[in-house]
Amino acid sequence: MPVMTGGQAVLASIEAGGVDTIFGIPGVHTAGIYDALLDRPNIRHVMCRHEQGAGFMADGYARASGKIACALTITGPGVTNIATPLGEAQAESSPVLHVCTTLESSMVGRDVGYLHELRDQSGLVGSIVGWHRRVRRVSDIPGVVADALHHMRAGRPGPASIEVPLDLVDKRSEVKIPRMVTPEPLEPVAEVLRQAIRLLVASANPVILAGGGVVAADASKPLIEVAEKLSAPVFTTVNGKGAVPEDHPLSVGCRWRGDQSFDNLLSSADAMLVVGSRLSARNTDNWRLPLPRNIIQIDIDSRIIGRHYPAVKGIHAHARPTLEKMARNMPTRPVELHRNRIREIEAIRRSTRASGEEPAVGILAAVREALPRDGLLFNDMTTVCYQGPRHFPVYLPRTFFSPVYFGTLGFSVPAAIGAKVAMPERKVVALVGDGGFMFTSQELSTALALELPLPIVVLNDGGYMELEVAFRRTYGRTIGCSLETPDFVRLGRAFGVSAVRVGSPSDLCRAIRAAYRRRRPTVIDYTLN
Amino acid sequence: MPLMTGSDAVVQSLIAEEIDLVFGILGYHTEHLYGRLMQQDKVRHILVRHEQGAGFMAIGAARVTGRAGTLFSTAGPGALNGATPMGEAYGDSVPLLNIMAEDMSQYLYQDRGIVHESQDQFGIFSRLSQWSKQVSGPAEIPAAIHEGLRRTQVNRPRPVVVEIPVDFFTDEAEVDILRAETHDRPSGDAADIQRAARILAEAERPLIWAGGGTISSGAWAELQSLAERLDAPVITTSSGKGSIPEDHPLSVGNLANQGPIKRLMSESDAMLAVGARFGYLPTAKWSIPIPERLIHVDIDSTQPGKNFPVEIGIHADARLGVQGLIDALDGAECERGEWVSAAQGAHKTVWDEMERRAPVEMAIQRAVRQALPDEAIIAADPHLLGYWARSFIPVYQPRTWLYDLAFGTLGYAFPVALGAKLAAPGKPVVALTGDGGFLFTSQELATAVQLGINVVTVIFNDNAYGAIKEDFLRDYGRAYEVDLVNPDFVKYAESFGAVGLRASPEQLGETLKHALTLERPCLIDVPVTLQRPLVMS
Repeated sequence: MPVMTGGQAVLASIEAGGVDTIFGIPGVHTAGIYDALLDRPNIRHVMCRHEQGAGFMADGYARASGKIACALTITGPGVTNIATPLGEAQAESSPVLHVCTTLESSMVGRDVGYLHELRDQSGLVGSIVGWHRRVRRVSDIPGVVADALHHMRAGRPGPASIEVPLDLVDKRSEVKIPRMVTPEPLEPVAEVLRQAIRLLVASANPVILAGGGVVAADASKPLIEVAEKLSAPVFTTVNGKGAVPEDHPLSVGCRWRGDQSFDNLLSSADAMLVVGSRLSARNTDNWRLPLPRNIIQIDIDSRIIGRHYPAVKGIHAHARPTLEKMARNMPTRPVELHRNRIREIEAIRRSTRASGEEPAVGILAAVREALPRDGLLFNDMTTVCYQGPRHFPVYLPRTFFSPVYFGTLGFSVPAAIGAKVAMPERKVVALVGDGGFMFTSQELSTALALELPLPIVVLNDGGYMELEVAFRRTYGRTIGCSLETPDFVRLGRAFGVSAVRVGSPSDLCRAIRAAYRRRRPTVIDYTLN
Repeated sequence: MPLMTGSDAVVQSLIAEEIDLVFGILGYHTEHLYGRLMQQDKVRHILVRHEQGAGFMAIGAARVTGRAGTLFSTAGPGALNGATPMGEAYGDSVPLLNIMAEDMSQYLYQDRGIVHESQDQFGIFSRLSQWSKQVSGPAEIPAAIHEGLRRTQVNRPRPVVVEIPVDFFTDEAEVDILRAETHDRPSGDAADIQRAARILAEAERPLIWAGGGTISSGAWAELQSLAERLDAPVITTSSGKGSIPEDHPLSVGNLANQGPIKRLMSESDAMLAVGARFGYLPTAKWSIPIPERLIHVDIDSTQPGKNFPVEIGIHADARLGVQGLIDALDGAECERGEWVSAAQGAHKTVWDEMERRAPVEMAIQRAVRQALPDEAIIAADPHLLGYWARSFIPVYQPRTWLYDLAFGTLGYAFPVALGAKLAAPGKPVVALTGDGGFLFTSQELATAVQLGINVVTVIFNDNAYGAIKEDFLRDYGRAYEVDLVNPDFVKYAESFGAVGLRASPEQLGETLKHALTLERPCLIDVPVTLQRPLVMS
């Protein structure tokens, strides 16, 4: 068995596990890992300017590519700085491998005044992410890393954190690096699957809800096949956007609160196939939305099934093999019925189509025009982006991203950088508000160092205007929502990136296209009135 | 008892508890709270650009006033964005009151996909605070705030959390508002204090070790008086800077890791430690020779004896404990001319050596000090000049030196300086930071410009995580991923509407003086490559 330091063992283990990208910032506590990186030419390191950036980049990398990247931080402030992106990844079921150091085993929890000491780092991390271990011996490192990766790949994806005590970073030990094992997707129980198929086939008006789990499971193809066999309309959650091309005849798009036509569709349905969705507050109007009585729910997380709405059939399995088997074992519906259904769906789509009056609609249309069909859009928490689920059509899985559940300001820019690192050949746009941009704008330096052709559209309304509007509506006056913001064009230029100001959707479209021709990011200030 | 909403209970409690400054960013979960906040004018709210900024500003305000810094956090990312300043305040013993919103009480922690839902927000913040409470209704809010504030007074000052599920902001209940109260702090066992006073009076070569507790409890006058009565030289930690003016004949400053001072400690036959924990950095990883006869006064009863064995551990507030020792000396005045000369000699040896071997670093520090009046507040954070400044920028007044020694957070200096300036608007405030660290929290330039918080920030710019780079080269002989692509900091400042200046190390003193006259937020970029602080054997 080879002899390695703990730092070397971490890198050898993640590399053996198929992870080739690390986002992070070096520190005194991680120096031994960084030194070992010099001897690992197959692992790429991206240096960030705040650990929150490292976390969001790893998140964007994973959401865009389906691959796992590592975010590497020091003890203490490195861990608290990455707390928000880990919370974000947990809420959105995004697989981020977080590796950090912690105090020497003999010092943990003693409140001795150690540099970077937290009261209870393990407890803290364990409260944020669903999977967490502190390693005890150098020889344990490969097994712990393999466990974490297996957990993220086999089950519901989400972040995992591994703490390496400081005294192990430079300590040498014999270690055995296991070969990578790709987990087999969890297959459905045959009898339950048969019953589910029977129910769906027997229903007159089935509908399908595709959640983020369809995208995470790369199950779009069999999902579309099932929909076509059943002639069932498909709608998606926000994270499920792209599971079905939104120009597919059976797609009704992303359900939007208050769209009566959707709700009519649901109330006339007699069965509903739910795939990879929590049936969350957002997607069900706080569980007030009446759903068909016959719910057939497929989820990789058994705890989700039947939690908020009773499921007549719960299938605890990976979505891809389950849907593949469903599609294979379903008859096709009569052509006439299929045509009628498509006509109904077309009517619904007409009724929900954008009016074109809101500024957001024009901006989103311009972005859509500038982005090719397989281009990636990263959204943030800002007024224009709130219209994206409804008014930005998406055609492929893993092309539309939003901090939809955790709702983190400043997500989009570093997440877009991470996606660009994962898929340099794809075109990417980040949309962000002027308030949100300030949270993570230091990563402009990172994008510049990486020479990324990345347009960053700052939707500038001079404040936290979503809240301003809410205040004026509720109280007739406002407190502290308007912001003094920097001049974003000058800010961009101070960083050495390109920067332009535009004021119309057509200029925006041109500016995005121009940005793709540069080997550096472009800040596009879109001033809203 | 009056009927009121939870939001009113929060606002009325803050007024009654005499809290006049609160930091935060509003969010959906705190919208109702802010709606009530704007209907009064006793509590000023500072809107920041990232919740980490709110926490750090609250730390700055707390460290210059000695009272709990207060912030509002919204649920989920808003709360988690404040994790670092919470960890910082815990690690460096700063009192904070973090009033945070949570999801609907009936939906907590059930993986429901609610906006801003955490797996376990309360679990997260219970681990970042000395005390935390999730209220079960509006009626519990005033008592929770009151109890949190009590604990910041009577315990070692560390953060407390009051977590309020969002429905309780709008729910109404009969609420009893509690008024500000000063709580008695422990004054130590009288017999132990008598015994300790005797040991110190009878010792031939006593030393005093003044930690951050001396500052946070307001014990500097007593400490100086005790030192003079005992004629005992005073070593301070970084956090203890300002316990005694560094030009006082008994001050030997923060040099405990230097050979001459270590030898002084070896010769000492008794040490009084006040409000200190003998942590990792002040003791060079517990390698320095702390005298065996150690008397340790601390408000945290678990500290004495934890890192170095004590002869007497006194569980007392620093001020009350030191006053007790003065009383127990009963007017005795000691004379230890030779010992004090030895201490002064050791101090001078270190300074002379540094002047000789690090003229650039020492000249920069002298220029900064000379540009600032004694009462000016200096906030600094980990970077090479910051490492030097912990020992070689003399501090003359308490609560004018703000540094994050224990937790060691990058990006601390600038927002802490803003909070300090808001709490002490009459004093000049300067932040000393590095190019790497500054970008962690630089968005608060917008806050500074919007509110006219006129802090001068000096960036010692080596286009690298320079301190880490030095560590790498020292420990591994090579360095990886430490060189930075930076913005042009002058243009960066100007893009916010702040003043941007550039100065060579030689020009810094004049530029800093000039910047302080501008009465505007100002950034000074100082391109310079510095060496690590030198350690004498």
